[in-house]
Amino acid sequence: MTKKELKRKRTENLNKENIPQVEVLPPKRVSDEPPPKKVKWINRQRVLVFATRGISYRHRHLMDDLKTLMPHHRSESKMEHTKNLQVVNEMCEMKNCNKSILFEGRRKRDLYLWFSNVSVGPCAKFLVENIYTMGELKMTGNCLKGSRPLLSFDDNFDTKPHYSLLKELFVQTFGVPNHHPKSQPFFDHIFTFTVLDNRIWFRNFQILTEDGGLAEIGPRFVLNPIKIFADSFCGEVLWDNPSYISPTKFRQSLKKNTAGKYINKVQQKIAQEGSKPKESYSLNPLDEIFKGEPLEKALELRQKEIKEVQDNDDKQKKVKKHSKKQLGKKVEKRNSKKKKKN
Amino acid sequence: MKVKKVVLHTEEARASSESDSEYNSSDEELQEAYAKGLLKPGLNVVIEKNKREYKNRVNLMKDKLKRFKLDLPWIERLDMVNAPAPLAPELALQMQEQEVRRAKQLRGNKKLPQYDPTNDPVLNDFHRETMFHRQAQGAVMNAIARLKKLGVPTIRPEDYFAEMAKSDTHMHKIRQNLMRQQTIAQRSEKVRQLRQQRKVGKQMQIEATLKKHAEKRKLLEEVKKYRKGARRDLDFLDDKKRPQKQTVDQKVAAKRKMKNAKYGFGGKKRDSKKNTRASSANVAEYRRPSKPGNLKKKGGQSEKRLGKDRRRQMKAKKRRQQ
Repeated sequence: MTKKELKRKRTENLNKENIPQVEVLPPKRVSDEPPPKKVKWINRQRVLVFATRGISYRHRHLMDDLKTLMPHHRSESKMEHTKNLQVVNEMCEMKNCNKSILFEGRRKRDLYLWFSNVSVGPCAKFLVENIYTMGELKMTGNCLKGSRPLLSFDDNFDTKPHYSLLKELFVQTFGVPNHHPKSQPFFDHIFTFTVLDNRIWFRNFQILTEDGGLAEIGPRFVLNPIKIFADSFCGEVLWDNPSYISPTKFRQSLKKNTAGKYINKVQQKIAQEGSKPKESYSLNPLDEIFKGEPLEKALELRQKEIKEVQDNDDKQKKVKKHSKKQLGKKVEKRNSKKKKKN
Repeated sequence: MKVKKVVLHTEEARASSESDSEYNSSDEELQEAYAKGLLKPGLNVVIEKNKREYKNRVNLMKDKLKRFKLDLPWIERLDMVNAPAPLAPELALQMQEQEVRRAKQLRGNKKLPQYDPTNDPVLNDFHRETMFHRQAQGAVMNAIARLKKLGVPTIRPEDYFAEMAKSDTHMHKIRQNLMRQQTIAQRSEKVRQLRQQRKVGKQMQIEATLKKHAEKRKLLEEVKKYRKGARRDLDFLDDKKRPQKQTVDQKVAAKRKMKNAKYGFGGKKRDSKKNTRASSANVAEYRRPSKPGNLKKKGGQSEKRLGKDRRRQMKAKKRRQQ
């Protein structure tokens, strides 16, 4: 009796466990499936991605890469350099965009990036460093064109207000809207934003397996934030990067360092010559008397002495001569005086 | 004791520097400061104070964030804040390998700038990249779980084709590049192994020759001893060439034996009829050549060959005598 009851209970339990399991959708979708109804996308973000004149080829490639990764972008031809960037707002309005990424090239080597939330703000200016484009051969990953990226942020983005502001800006610009007509319904890549060394490091990885197998797709770049403005391309400065050094200034300092090198070298040489002692060691001249053959040494010394004596004699003779002459003159003078007197 | 110019960090000093009228009184100020003990004797250098003030308007920024933040469900935004995933064992292994390789590289090439591992830019780069990788891993695991909960399919089916971010030609280039690098690595590995082998082989050869020399010397010494009478026996000759026992298959051995019995075995086949040292030194049959005058007579007589019958008889006679 008891055994039977037990068995029944077990089966009941099993049934109970089975019931609450909701039918889980398979992670893969079959391609024969009828196309799902088109859903309108709520998050209507359109990003104007364009550049000013004077960006280099590498920067242009980076821009193209971003464009391929963002199906919600609108492109625009290159813009002339203007002092007032508020023109961009009007351009965005014309193109029906509410975000913009502006690539501003300076001196054919420095790239500045503007991220802006048009019409309302904020707007942030970055210096872009360490650019690797998607064309680089060491980046082996690949993804669908227009699939939605996952956006991963570092812990630091929650700690400081300017970082959280930037995070929101990045989410709205880089995030592909759900059900965007040009987007794909799969998740095969991820953007990571990491704060390190006061800069924001951007990476793009392909998701190979769902348990964390990754391959880098590119592009890679580092955003060095410079300023955050309250409005789009204008307005109050909300934040300033205290650790920012402009690339021109940095290059200048490098040049200065190398320029001082030669002068420093010359100065050092002069200083060394000035402070150099004439004798390396003060020797006692009598120490050398007993060196070598005593007989030869004695002869040498003897000759030296003779020479010295001769020299002295010559000098004395000269002096004597001189004095004799003078004496003669004096005597003559006296004689002449005497004669005159007489 | 020179006091040049000094930046005073008191408020008074700052006020004076701004107004021109008090500009000349800086010496007095310095004296005062010296009296107070704010200045210390020594070489004081002017510090250029950075007058720029950096803005950081926290409240405004928070306000701004509130105003332009989109309150949409997560599936629309797909953003995550996450810590890096724990270090995977294979990544840790890779890291360790990289460190070892780098240390070896630095040790091998003194021309490279030598860094200690904490400051090494290469290692730092590697660590940084692994950190980003781990962050992405953490985010992926987190996001996939969340998406599954929402019931959104994530994996692309194999037969779903669409335009990719990188073109096929580009991917082909990447693959070729990878292959090339692999082959280069393999080749260099092979060359390295070969070099190592050669080194070892040379060492072995040297050792072998040394051993041979030592054995020879030993043998000669023994022989010398024997010759001088210090040794009686010649055992050292035996134990040097101790035959190595070889395991031979019984069946094969039997067959070989049979064949040897049938066809004969061993011995030199060539040169069996050539002169040897012994044969050429053998002078038993040598006869001094006769004088030229007598040659014809003697030779004619002696060299006359007997007839066949006589020769046979002679042979028989010889045999009988034996």
